[in-house]
Amino acid sequence: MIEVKNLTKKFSKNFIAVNDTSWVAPDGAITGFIGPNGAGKTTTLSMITGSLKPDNGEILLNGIDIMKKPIEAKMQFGFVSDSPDHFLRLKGIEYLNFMADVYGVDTKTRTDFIENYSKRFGLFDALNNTILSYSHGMRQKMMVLGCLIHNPKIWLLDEPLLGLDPQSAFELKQMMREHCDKGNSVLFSTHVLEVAEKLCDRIIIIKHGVIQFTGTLTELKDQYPGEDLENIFLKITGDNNE
Amino acid sequence: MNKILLLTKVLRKCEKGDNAGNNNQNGDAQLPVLITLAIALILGMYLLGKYFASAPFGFEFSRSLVCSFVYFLAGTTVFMWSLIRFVNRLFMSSDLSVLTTMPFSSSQLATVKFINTAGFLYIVAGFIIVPFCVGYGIASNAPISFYLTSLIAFVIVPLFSLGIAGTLIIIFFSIFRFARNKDLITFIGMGISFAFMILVMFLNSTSTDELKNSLETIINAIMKVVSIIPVIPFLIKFSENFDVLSLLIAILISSASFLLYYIVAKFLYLKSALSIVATSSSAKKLSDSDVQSVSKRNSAVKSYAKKDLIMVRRTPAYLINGFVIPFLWPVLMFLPMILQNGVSADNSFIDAMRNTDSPVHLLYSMIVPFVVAMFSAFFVSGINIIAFSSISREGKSFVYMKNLPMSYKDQIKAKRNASLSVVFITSTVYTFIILTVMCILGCVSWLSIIFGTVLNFLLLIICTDFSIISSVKRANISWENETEITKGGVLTGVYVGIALIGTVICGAIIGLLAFFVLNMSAVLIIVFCVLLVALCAFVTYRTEKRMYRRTTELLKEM
Repeated sequence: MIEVKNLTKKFSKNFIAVNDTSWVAPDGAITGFIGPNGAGKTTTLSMITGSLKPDNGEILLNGIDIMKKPIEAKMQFGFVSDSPDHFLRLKGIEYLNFMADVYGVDTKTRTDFIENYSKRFGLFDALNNTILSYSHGMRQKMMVLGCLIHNPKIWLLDEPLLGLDPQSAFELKQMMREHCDKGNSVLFSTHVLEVAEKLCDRIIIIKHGVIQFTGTLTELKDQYPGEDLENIFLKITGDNNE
Repeated sequence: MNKILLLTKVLRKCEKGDNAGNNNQNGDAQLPVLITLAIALILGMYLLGKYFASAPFGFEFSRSLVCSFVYFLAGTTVFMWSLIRFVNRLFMSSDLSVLTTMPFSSSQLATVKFINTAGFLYIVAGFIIVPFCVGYGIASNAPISFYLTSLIAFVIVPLFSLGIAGTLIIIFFSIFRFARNKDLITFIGMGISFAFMILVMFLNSTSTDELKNSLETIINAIMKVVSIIPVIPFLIKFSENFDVLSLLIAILISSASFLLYYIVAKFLYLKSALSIVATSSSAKKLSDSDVQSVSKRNSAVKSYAKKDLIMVRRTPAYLINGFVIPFLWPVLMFLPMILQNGVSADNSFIDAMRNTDSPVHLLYSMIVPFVVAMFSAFFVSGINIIAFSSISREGKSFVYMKNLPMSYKDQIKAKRNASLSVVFITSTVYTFIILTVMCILGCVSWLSIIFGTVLNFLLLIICTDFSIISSVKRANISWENETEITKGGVLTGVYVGIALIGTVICGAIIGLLAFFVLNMSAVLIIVFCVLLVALCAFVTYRTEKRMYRRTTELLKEM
């Protein structure tokens, strides 16, 4: 479970990227983090992962404060950033072993994971090639595998479906669902409302660093009867709403 | 033709745009420097012309000979330089992936690349031929035909060199299919350059005294060598006799060189360029058992250090600066001396060092390992790019570094270990080998090997720690090209300065101290050496603590 309490991040006096937000991404649910460009999604994710220090507030990952116990907290999640161009000179298998070593995954578990999931994602034949030679989608899938190799309780995914082929996107969505069904939590940011509509159990809508809505899709639709998600989203995040 | 001109313009603008951030402002500042340089070159050529006109060796150098030599110099310079530029523009350029998809023919693309390459190289040729033409022409009261020939030479000599260089490059890349792998090309190119350098050193060393002393032999040699560029003899004929036919032949030869490039490019260029764009790894596929055998658990720090070393080894810019130069520095530094002068030594001095009863032996047993250890440690630390680029190397992956469940201390430790493992081989092991050889020759005692090696290793740790602190302070994670971060900055200057000047000064101080101690007891020298090592160990311990504290603070703020 991810608990965010009174989280604030200011980049200057006039620019507050995240303004006193509080929300929860519960266990057993896929939570979609939705908002227009510059709404504060990536800033929030950076603070949750410990890359950015908040000015105020608290972030608990399965009850562990990322500020107070960063190493323990980081062991709780796997994070996939929106850009897959990392560790390009490593071979796929080297990257996965590196991530497994960093997260302390034992030999048996990692071998099973690499064999099973690289085949599921169609990457097995490319494991001995450098990531540099992969296509965008292959890189994205490799980053997803690297972040999930230690079987984290919490998945944090920044635009994870970007660049994936339909088969891999389907696989990832199914994996997210399976993960939640086991009582774990998934938080992912997206711009694609259809994905959010089909996949998310709960959604969080953020605009100008302020949370506009948290809850289930049904709860959201109840507030705007007769409207589809796109219209609701535009109403909430549009400038005329201010 | 319009398409060629249009694309040439666009590519030129793109190049300017690429360099805009760095060079646009410098461009105006560079102009006075270039003008000053040109004036200095003209003046130099004028003085040189006057000097040769006075027949300094009792031998008058004819104008034709001097002209031949200068045109040859311009032609070969353009040729050598254009080889590199053609490789970069024809096959390594980032615009290839876009250009190959556009409706341009092979010869059109190659012509555009030729024009873009030629622009800079004509400036280079101009810097050789124009000052010569003006300076030497005035000094030697040259006739109008000299100026006219120089002007024509400025146009057709570089054209010939460019045509041949471009043709060779296209043929080379068409024949050798390994050219598909950019990294491999860089590596092979590096090997060839190194072999070429050794060859030049070797040829230089074998040049006989007769060759050095005989002016006539030199002149004959120049005339023979000059004819490698066949345009030059015809130009000289035109200059001497106003032979228009010779001029026409010279122009035809140069044009033929470009025509040859055009024809070769028409049939071979696009095919080879496409194979470069389609660069891909074709490594062996892994089987299930392979996956099991390579997936063994390691400690996080060890795995992190291994990851860093792999990335350095597989990135050409880091490979050259981080591995090749540190490994070859003794060869690069000492081979020219050995090849050109031979190993000569003062026998009486060596004998004194070898004589265990001599006070000099005892003295050198301490000073030699100190000097070797200190010079080697500081010099190698000055070129230890793996340490300097520790954080910057992460680039966009820096965010991952922050997300990993590893303390910053452990991550820095892994990075320190990675760079230390390389400099350990390229400095400590080399120091050990040098001192062992000297010990076998009887010049120093066996205790010197231990003293020198330990001292070197401790100094290396201190230097590497400071380099790592510097790498965090000066971290640049928003680079576009790896070569941007393969510089050590001020610290390189400090280390190399200490290696060169500091070693001499400290060696002299230690020598003086040792000399006084020497008069008392040899045991005291050993005590002195042990104290020196202990002091270094203490400084190392303090530096380590400081490095971890400081880097953690800095990384938290980033």
